[in-house]
Amino acid sequence: MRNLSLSAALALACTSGAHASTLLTPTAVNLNTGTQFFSIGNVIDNSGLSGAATSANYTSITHAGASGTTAWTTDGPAADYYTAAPAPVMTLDLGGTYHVSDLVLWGYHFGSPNNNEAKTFQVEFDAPTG
Amino acid sequence: MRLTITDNHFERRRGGERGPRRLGEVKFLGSDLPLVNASAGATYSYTTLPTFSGGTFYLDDPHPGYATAGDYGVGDLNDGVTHPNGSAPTTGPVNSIVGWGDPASIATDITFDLGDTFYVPEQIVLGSHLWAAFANGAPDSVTVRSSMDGSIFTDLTTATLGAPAGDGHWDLAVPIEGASAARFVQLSFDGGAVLTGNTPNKWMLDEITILASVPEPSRAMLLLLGVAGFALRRRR
Repeated sequence: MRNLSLSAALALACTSGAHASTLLTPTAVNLNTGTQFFSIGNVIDNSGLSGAATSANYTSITHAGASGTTAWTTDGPAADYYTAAPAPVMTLDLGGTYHVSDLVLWGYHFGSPNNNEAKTFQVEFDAPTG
Repeated sequence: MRLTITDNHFERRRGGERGPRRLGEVKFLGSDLPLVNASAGATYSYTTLPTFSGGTFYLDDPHPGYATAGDYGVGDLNDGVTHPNGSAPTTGPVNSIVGWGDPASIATDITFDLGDTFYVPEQIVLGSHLWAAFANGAPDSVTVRSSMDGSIFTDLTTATLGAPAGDGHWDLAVPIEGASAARFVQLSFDGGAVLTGNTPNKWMLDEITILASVPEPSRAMLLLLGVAGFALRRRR
């Protein structure tokens, strides 16, 4: 059996070398733009992961093949999504304020490296305004 | 965090088309923000100036023109100096104590302008100095508020402070849950009456430390565009 793991690291800003990194799981997610053929909640609930991911082991944690209980996907409005729908936007609440150094993603696959993956992201963040 | 998927890899099984947007799981690597003493170097003001009918020991030094509201120097509360343990309050620079009385029920608000926006406060430490022979007590409660503009404040917590065990300097910790971005922190005291061994006729502070997280980068929204480099691994 062959499993596929995809991870991405996108340096944001202000990496704090003096403080130990923690793997942060968002406490809530809201899909601002896009549809949910599979629920967006699946991207923050650890569903499909091969174990409990930490900052020490996340590079070895894999994600199971996509299903309606382990992954999120939009509807397929056209063969080429971007000709028919806007880019999906999701807001993730980290439940606190942190130095964020990396974005960690597990992709969507059917057990083979078919490049069925998001490729380019725009990441925005803001401080709580109280 | 807001995440926008701006493009997909072309999907082989769809003949090179870019199908629905998809993800398996999303997390972030991060660390707690470092805490700093945000009150050091800040300015602050009182609604009721420190005073005591029995003398001038407990004014905020230096205090030229102290009788005129707003025309006084401040610094005792954030100069990093606490009054020594085992030492009775005295006159002169060594006395870093400010106090309100007599009676001990005199209330005041102390508003700090931190000079910049912090994630505040994570914790506030109220330094007090008790001296039973002088009937010097401590604050018994405090309400903490924060504000971005110095005029509209939001209540963060009201804490009841425990009774220190005896004479000397005491640090009274006020933990805050749910820090938010703010520039102004207001501490509202309704008087005080905590003292062992005598009935206090005044309540004292000798230092206030506001521990906060520095917003780095500063409060403006940051926008970064990035193309994630994917690591593809196969495991059997």
